[in-house]
Amino acid sequence: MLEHDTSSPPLETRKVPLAPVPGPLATLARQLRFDLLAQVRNPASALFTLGLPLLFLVTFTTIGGGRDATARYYAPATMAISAMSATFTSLVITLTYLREYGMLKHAQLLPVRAGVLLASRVLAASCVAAISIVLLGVVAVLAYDVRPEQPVHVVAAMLGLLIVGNALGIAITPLMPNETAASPISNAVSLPMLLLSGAFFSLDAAPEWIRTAASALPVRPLLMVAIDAYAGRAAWSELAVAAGITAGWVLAAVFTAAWLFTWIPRRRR
Amino acid sequence: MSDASLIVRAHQVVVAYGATTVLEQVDVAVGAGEVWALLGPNGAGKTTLIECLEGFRRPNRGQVEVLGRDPWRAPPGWRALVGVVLQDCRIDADLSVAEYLQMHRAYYRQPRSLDDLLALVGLQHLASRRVHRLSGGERRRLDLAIALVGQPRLLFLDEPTTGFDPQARREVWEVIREHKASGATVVLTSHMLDEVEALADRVAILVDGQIRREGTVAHLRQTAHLPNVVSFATPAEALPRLTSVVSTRRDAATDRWHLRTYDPHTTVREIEALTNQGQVNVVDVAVRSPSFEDVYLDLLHHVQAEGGPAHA
Repeated sequence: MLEHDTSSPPLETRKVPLAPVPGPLATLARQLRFDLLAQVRNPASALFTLGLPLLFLVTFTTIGGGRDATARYYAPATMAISAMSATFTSLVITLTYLREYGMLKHAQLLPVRAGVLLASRVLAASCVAAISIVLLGVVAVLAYDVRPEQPVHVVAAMLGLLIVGNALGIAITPLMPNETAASPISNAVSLPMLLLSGAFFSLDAAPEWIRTAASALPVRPLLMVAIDAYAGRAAWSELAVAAGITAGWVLAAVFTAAWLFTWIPRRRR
Repeated sequence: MSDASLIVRAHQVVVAYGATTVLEQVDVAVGAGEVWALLGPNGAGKTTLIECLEGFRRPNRGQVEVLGRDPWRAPPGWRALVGVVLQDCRIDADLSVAEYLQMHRAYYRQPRSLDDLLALVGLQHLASRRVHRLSGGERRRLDLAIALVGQPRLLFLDEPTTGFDPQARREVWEVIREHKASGATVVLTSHMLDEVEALADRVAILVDGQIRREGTVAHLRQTAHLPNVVSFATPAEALPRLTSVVSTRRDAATDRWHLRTYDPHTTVREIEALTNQGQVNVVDVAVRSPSFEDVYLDLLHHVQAEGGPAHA
């Protein structure tokens, strides 16, 4: 591979004054509006982010006898499913699609820092997830009279899940070979992860080694904080440990994304 | 051309992917207000060269300067001076055409008005249609509108009229001409040689990572030395020898003769003389100059046979 050599003198083409451009925060605010608009108009995204978790909440609680304890478990559990669907799965699919259709490449040629456009996507995914989480919480209150005993812990846990979901979504996108593979692969990663984290059913009866392994996964520690917070038994130390494990996953995801993320389509159209 | 009048300059640019050299010591100089077209067969390195000029790719060696700056390190304020239509970008969104353009207008301090953009590319009637419902040609128009949002000083157009009907192509040509008339510079890549002939002030032909010919369309035509073709219909199965003709070919299916000649005026006179003498009965005489496609294919044939670099 040839080294990059830029040591020669300038070529002195006509130096045109730079055009004024809006600041990054103003651009982010405007971009977020359009990204949110596009996201809420996507029926598939709405179904997976809100429809399915809501269906899970109602179904699992009904199967579990409709008791308070069951709803108290599945309210935070379905919130976690929704958070991961809106951030991790949705970002993997969207970013792969944008990459393969050349829109990420085109974005790099716009007078906007690429990071601003990426941040807008992340914020849009997080907003949709937050709305969905709130709606699930409201349904839990209205249908089952279940409220979080420690709402701050629940909010902190959900915030952590949004951060780790977004980070992992960006990190895994470079591994997607094309846009048609993005949905099955991202679901093949997220569903077992949620399953092993106890989002679909409690792991109380699972072997000890499975629970130990699951506690090192990105979702399980924060989900347990949220479930415990709904029951009023979450400790700050538990939240601190979960935050530490999550931070480790986020750091690993950020490094992976910085190393592997590409703006260029894998295949030319 | 002095450096101060140049908008795009590349000097001895080399790009290699591993052991494969894609661009080999390429020089480019594009002046202000010029339409510069880059031609070449598939795999010649056109996209790589354009990506270097756009700042999307960093050359391994050599220098690139566009609008007074190295595009690789250029800030957003530089990008606001440049509009780009990519060949391999297929825009798609759950936004309407107007919303999509508004989104792009927000990237600039002084963007064109929405109405102006819609009118420019003929999408007024589709302003409220969702982008994902547009046809390929309509998406391409939207692509062009996006490239023009910031009233760019430099426009990169990679196959800008792919999927257009003939009328739409000519409308886009007019947009490009108007943009050039406003003082902007255009770098055009296209496989449609009539488009290049209609728009380009200068053409460069890239083969195997090297610019092998460069000049105006007229200059390339002149240096190609291709004969004209005089054709006519006649039932005669043989013709007397004509001194101005290089070669003859008869299309038996249509009873039409095609005579290659460097002096079509003399050839027509010779045919007229034969007719007057009653030797042949000729109708529907036509003279065709070599098209730019003929010239391009001939140049390509020659430069590929030559092997080494040969700037015209």
